[in-house]
Amino acid sequence: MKGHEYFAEVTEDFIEDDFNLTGLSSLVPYYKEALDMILDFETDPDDAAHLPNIPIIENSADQLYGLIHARFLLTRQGLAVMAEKYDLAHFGSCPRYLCHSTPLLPIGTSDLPSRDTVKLYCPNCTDIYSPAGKEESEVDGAYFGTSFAGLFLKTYTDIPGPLGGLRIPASTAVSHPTPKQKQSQSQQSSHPQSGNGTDPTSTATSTSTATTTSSQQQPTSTSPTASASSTTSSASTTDRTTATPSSSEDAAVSTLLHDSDSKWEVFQMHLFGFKVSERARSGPRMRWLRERPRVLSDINPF
Amino acid sequence: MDDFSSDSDCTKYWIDWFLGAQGNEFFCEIDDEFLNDRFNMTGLNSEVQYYQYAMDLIMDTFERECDDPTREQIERSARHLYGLIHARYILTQRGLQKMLDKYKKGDFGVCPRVHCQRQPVLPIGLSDVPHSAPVKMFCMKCEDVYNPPSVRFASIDGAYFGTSFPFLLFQAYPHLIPNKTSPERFVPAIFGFKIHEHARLARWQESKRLELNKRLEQYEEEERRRKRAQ
Ligand SMILES: [Zn+2]
Ligand SMILES: [Zn+2]
Repeated sequence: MKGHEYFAEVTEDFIEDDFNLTGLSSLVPYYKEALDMILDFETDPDDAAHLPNIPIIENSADQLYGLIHARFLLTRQGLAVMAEKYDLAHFGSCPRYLCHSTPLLPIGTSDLPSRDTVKLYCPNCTDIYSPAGKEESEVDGAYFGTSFAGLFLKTYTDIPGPLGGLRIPASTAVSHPTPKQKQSQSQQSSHPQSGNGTDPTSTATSTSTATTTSSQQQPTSTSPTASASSTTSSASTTDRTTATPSSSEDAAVSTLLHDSDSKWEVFQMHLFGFKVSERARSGPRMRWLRERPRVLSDINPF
Repeated sequence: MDDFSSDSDCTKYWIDWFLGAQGNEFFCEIDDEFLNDRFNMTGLNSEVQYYQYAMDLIMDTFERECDDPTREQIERSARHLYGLIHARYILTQRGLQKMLDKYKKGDFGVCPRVHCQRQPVLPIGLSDVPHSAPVKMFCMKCEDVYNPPSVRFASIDGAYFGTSFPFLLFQAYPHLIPNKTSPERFVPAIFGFKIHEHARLARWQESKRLELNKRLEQYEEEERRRKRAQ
């Protein structure tokens, strides 16, 4: 299969469970034969006479496997396999210079096959990129789907969110190792910020803080010194049912504090050593795309 | 020596070889006229070992016999020298024009960002001091800097393009500035629901964009008033 580096191996159990394949028969031509091919079943020789040549069925089998793959990724097991691949940067790293090689996640812009090729999502700059390799850039995005990347980020909370170095207050949390912290853990993880920069909205939403705290419990129990493998072991708090947006998410964001250790950088245009002015016609117009609030209270909760 | 180095019809062996080498696709051909003007080389002789020999090599006038290690060093010096001259050349009118032609042909590649829709990029250095960082790509649509997709550019010094080149080019050719008025952005979703934290950041950034638009209108208004007063 093209761009196989991106794919997790779907377990046979998952493919054999009819429930997981609901609705796919209408999307894939020669569904039954394709499924037999995936599961290495022999096709009935009587049927074989009416069937088109092997390459057409192979094509269907590829597509069916891809669509099953997209569903498999949304299971606990699928997420765990992808977490391992993520830690090994199997999906490449962000081409944006200031993202300093943040590993990427595959994402589809559509869940229907043959609509768009796979894209790569960067959790650091929260943007999507085209794969650099030719093989990978031809993979169907539906084989990964629109929900996988988001669900992955909700599950593995040690990957920093879009609010950069914003963290859970010291009272409720052990700090999470972020990719950057993994490199400089000794200085950073020992002192989570407290006090300054508290979002005023955190008191307003304190009723739901209890839910937040409990849903954060599992990931935070991971030792801050554990590195890559901890991502996989903390995989369990969210499953498909609890991952849909709920009110507890509001609190998860608003109770975070700003971490002054991590600095967020935005590229600045210079001409002969001087910043290019906003007043110039060729001046900066896109800084907002990469800017982050300095403190959480800058950001409107609604 | 002067007889044939000033002859522009003469085939330029070394420069042709250099421009055709793997990883050198971002460089343009420097004019003879520029290379022959010593003023343009000010300060470079202290930066490059075997400066004169390297210069002779670039100009195809190097005829000295020397041992292999020395020859190798002179070769390396010539490549470095060409890069340093290149950084200066592309800030001239002729140089900008040559790089513009390459830009229009898409010689520098395209922006990897999906919403930039394959906007052509320009080479850029993060420093003007040699040996600081390899060459990067600058996209004028998202105004950000990217690593080139191929490893073969990892050994090309960013100082051979410099920090100013893209901005000088767009100042000189403002009609080439891509349209930024309908900003598309990506917000991840789970089963169709946008992730709250991301949606929130997107709204904050949108408010920053609107603030910028307001400032831009204000600048325009100031400009109009200034012109009326004259
Ligand atoms: Zn990024
Ligand atoms: Zn771009």
